[in-house]
Formats: sequence, structure tokens, C-alpha cells
Amino acid sequence: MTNRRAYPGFDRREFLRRAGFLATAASATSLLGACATSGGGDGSTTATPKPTSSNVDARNPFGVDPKAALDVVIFKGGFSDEYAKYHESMYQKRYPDATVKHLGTQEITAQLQPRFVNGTPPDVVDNSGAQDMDTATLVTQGQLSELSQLLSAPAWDISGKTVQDTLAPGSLDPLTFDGKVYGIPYAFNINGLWHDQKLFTDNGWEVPKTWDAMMALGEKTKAKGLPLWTYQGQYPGYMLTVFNAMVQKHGGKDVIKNIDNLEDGAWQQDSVRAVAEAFFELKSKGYILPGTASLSHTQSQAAWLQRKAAIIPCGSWLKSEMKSQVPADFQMSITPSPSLDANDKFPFEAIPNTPTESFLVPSKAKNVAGGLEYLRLMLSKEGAQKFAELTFTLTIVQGVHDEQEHDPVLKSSLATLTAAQKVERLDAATYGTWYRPLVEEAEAAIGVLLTSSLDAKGFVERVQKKADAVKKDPKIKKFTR
Amino acid sequence: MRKGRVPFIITFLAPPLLLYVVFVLSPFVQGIQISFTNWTGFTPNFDYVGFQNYTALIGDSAWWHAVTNNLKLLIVIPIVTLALALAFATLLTRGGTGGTQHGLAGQRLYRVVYFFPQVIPVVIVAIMFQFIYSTQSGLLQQTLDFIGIDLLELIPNGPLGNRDFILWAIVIAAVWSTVGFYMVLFIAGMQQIPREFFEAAAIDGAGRVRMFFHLTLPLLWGHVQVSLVHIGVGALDMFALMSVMARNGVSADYGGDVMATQLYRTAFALNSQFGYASAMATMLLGFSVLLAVLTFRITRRERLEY
Repeated sequence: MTNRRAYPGFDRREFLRRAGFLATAASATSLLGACATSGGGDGSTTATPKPTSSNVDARNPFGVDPKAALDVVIFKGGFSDEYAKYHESMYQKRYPDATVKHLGTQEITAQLQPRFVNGTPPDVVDNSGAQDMDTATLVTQGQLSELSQLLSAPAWDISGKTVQDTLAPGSLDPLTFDGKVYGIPYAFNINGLWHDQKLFTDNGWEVPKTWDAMMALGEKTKAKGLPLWTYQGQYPGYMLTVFNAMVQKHGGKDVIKNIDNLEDGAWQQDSVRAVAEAFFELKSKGYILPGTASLSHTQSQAAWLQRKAAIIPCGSWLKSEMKSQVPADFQMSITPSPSLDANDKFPFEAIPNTPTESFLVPSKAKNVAGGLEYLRLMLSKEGAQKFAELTFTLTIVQGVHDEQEHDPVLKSSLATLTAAQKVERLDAATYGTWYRPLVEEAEAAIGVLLTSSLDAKGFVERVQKKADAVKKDPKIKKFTR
Repeated sequence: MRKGRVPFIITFLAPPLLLYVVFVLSPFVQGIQISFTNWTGFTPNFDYVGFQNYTALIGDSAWWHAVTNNLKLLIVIPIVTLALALAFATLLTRGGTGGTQHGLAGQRLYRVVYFFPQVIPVVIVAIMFQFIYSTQSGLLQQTLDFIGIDLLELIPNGPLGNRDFILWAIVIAAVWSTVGFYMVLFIAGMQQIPREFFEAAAIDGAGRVRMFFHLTLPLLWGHVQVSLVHIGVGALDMFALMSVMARNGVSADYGGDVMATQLYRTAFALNSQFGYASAMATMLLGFSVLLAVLTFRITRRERLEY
């Protein structure tokens, strides 16, 4: 630390520019060593931001400087960025003197990583999509603001409640690291199985609640010349989501917790094997739309919308993503993934909280208070309702969506959510955020299990091998929950 | 004249040299430096870890898989591309026989047609071929249907969903998009060969095939050599096509994973292992240099002045 103070002009930008030359200078090497030890740590070094002006009150709990500019970067993907523009206009209304800079992009990492390295990150980041930044790394490097201040602040337009009180229980889990919250997963995404209610009603089919019923339905759809199932072939991760939920429903919370904690033999637990066997049946019985493996997510979803398969797994963003291709008589509905059998520890209705759209406030941002304020207004009734209206997806703000006029997707989402809240909640699997090399391998393997040469045993062994490798790899930081 | 020469040369050489050092050499040096650290790419902090990244790399079967794929590409792409380009150039130019015999009818049109893919951006080529290979009524599937063949029976899961086919499906796209460029290069080369050689050969009774192997090809060797290095380095890279068509190498159980896509994922997706990724990049750099040196060594021949 003393070394640091001795070089006041040595900022990050300078560092990058000179890195090559510095390597040769012995004194510089020791300086870098000093930095590494001071910043490595467990990420708990981030200080909570101090209010920047004296006018702190319930209306402005973080002491936002009304004139300070706000820099917002939004992932412009399945949800587009219209909702964010609305939120920005809300901010502008409250602080008319502030200029709000908006960037909607799919290339989150390419746009933002240099800015993090330079120490000039934006004030609000929607870290989402296929090219999102690795949140675990950002946390361990102390690059994100810890959000307890936001959570204990009064809610924007729901009187008598703090922000924390208005959120669905457990919704912050995915962005909680070692007990501290580093981001707001905004959209109350439900991962489930989608079907066309019209197709099912016309044929007298019931939505299967158990795997046996699913297989029976597969026989019926096959008789009609329709494959039971398709999935986003090039992205087998969608099936891994169904897999995680079914494993936990069958074996209980500990099963998935063991996987998250990289316990020895976690992937060889009975429930994991049993669900892998079930997935193998989809292939061996020929229930998957031929050619699924090579389809992109939109190609497979389009095939499903053309009624070329009965069921597809997806998150709540499905309608928002496919809006233009939905046939007029199509009744898009979502249900939870089925129970494996009668021995399941959780009921059919149980779902995990798997919110998406991770909103972060970088700790080195210029306007941290403004960033927190932006998050607070997003979590308002007004902000949340606008989001649902534009994206057909609920937010993690509780109760505010009941009074909205719903389209069929919102309606079935809300029904699923309401039923789920009457039973115990599944934990969200976290190994996907913590150990990306593991999840990449699990996704590849599940693709092979569903459409190519692996059987259940081979799948389990292959993923376990990778889990062991990740556990041993000193380059990857470990977490536990 | 003499007096002003040194400053004159410096004015012309300094700016490009400076740009080269700043934007080409310094990133190389930095990359090599980073390969000896555990940098995550998000902060200024890192530790030096010696050769840890390199020893990990040698024991990483996923990396060897990527290297093997690159080797396959390195063998197949140059041979196929150059063979096709030479064949097209010979067919389409009178230069191939020095004007003693004519090229194909409609050769001007063909020249444009074959060169056309070269002007299409690589990403567009990739997306286009994704549609061609689609298993939901793609062009390939429909064409095969027409002659009574089921694509999914021929290639289970389709070209881009099959571990054993995805690499070759992408090779076809790569060859298609570059063959026109080398064809034009060879046509230009052929037109430089003096006509008298061909006339002499014709008088001696040499046919087209004989002229090609004993006249055209030896005199074109300089062009072929340069092309080999160029295509070879391209085959070591292949990032753009693999990125789009194989989802950064992950598609079809890593069937299309190459060194470039793997290092990209390691740096930006797989828990941000920048140090490890830089070690991969340094190895790739080494392979590229080695390839260039080897190609020039192996293909060295005496040059003919005319």
C-alpha cells in the first residue's frame, strides 16, 4: 500500500501503456507485486459509497448530485432496450439537470472490459447476454458496489417499504457472493416448458406433470406425426436449466448444493443419474425433432412456433424474442418442468428463482449514487410495470404486476409464479455463474446425451471429470454456499 | 541531393515504423508478458506464475483437440484451395497456354463469378452458410431431397450439429470464399509468362496438361509459395468463421474448436483466465512463425528471370 502512495501518477491507463517496459524493470515488478496482493483478496474490500451531497432524505437517500451525468449501458437483446429508455426518462424527470448517456449493445464485454481496466466504467451496467462479463471475477476483483445501501433505502413509489421488502424472496441469490449482494437480477424470469394451449386443447392433450406422463404424451404426438420436443440445439444450456430443476425437485436442495460446491462425486448422485436416464429416453424413443442439434435458438423456436414440435424449454423472454413470428391463433403458455416420479422431494409447482438481466453498479463509477438511484427507480411500481408491458416478462418486484392487463404469456407466467409461491422454492443453481468451464462442458455433454452418442452413464462420468478438473485448477477461484 | 537523403528517408519510414511498434509489436510483447501471469483482464493486479500456464497447456486435452483441428485445416485448406484456384485460373485464361490455345467460352463472366465471394464479408459468408446447412429446409437439405436423399440420414444432426462434419462443413465455406482471390492472383501470374515459351512447347507437341505441369506451374511457383503462407496462416486462425458457424468452437461437442476460438473463450468466457489465454496466444504466434519459415524453406526453388 505504501508503494502505491509513492506513485500517485500511476493509474490504470498508464499501467497498460507501460506494461511491456515495466516488466523489465526490477523495481516496477515489485510494485506490481504489491498491487496484486492489495487487490487480489476476497473482494470484500469495496467500500460502500459515501453520500456525495448533504441533501440526503427519503426522496434522495443516496445523496445524488442532481447535476451529475449518468452513464447507462444496457444489453439490447431479447428484451430490446425500450424499457431502459423509459427508466432513463424517469431519472431525467426527477433530476432534470442531469444528462443521461444511454448505450444499447449486445457486446457487453467488448464495450466494457477496456473501461473497467481503465478505471472508467459506466454507472449502471446491464450485464447480460451471450457476451456478458464474468460477474464472479468482477466481484473478486472488487469492481462492483455492494448494494446493502440500496436494499435498505425506502422504495421509490411504494410507501412504507424498503427496496428489499418489495422484492420476491430469494430473487437476489444469483448475485449474492459470500452473503453480500453485488447486483440486481431484474427480470423475474421463469425457466419452464412452453406449449401451445390451442394445439393441446384441439388434440385433447394434457400438460404432463410427471416424466411418465411426458413419455406417454410423446407416444400420442408421435402418432400425430409430431415430435414431442425440440430445444435450442446450438445452445444446449437451455436443457441444462430443465435438468437442474428436475434434479433438485427429485433429490432435494442438497443435491444441487453439492454440485455447486464441487463436492466429490456430486454428479454421480442418484438423482443426477436418474434425470440423465430420463433425458436419454427422449433420444432413444425418438421424441426429439430431427436436426435439432444444429439449430440456433431462434431457428428452433421458430420451428416450435410453426408447430413442428410440441414442447420447447425457454425462459420468460420467449415471446419478446419471437414477437414477429407468433401465429395469430397460437396460445403460448408456460409450465414448470415435470416431476421425475412420485418420490420427488418437491411438488410439481416448485420453481427456482432464475431472474435475468443483471444490473450492476461498478464500484469505480463516477456517479455511484446516481447508479444506485437508477436501480431504485427501476424497482419502482411504475418502472416494473413498464418493463412487463414492453417485454411480456414479470420483474422481481412483488405484487405490482397483478393489476396489469395481461397477455396470455404474462397470465400463465403469473399463474405459475402464484402456484410456486405456495410451495417451497427451489434454489437457483449457481455453478453456472461460478464455474464457467464446468458449465460449458456440462452443456456440451448434455447436447451429446440428447442427440448423439453419450448415454446417461457416459454423461455423468464426463461432467464429473470436468468438475474434478475445475476443483483442482488453481486458476479458478472457488466459492461455497 | 545526398545531403537531404537521411532526413528524407526518416520522414517516410518513421511514421509507419512507429505505428507498427505501437500497434503490432507492443501488443505481442505484452501478450507474452501476460502469459506468465495469472491476470484476469479486469484489474491492474496480477502475480507472475512462471511457466505454470504453459505446463497446464501441455496437459490440457482440450487444447490438443484444438491444435489437432488446426492441423487438419492446415493440411486440407491449402491443398484444396490452391488446387481449385490453379484449375480455375488455367481454365479461364489463355495465359495458361500463352495464347496458343484459348480459355473457356464465357471466361470473363466466370472470373467475376468466382471472384465474387471474395468481396462478401466473412461474417456474411458464415451466416449464409448457416442457412444453407440448416436442417429446417436449408438449401442443402432441399437439394438433397430433390434427388431423394435425406440430409439427416446422411449426416445425423445436420452438418453443423455433427461432431465429425462441422469442421469440414466450415472448410467448404472457407474455400468457397477465398478461392476466387487466389484464382485472380494466379491469372495475373500466368499472364506474365512470355508467350514464346508456350509457342515453343506447342511446336514440340506439348498438350494443355503437359504445358501446365512443365511450364505454367514451375514459372508460377513464386505465387504459389506466397499463397501457401497466406492460406496456411489463415488456416491457423479461422476465428471469424468458427466464431459464427461453430459458436466460438462450442457447437457440436467442440467439433469445430480451434486454437483461436479456444483462447477467445478462455480469455472472455471461462472465468476470465487472461494469463492462460495469453499462453495459448503465444503458442499460436509461435506456430504461425514456424509455419512461415517452414513453408519458405520447403518450397524454395531457383527463380527464373524473364
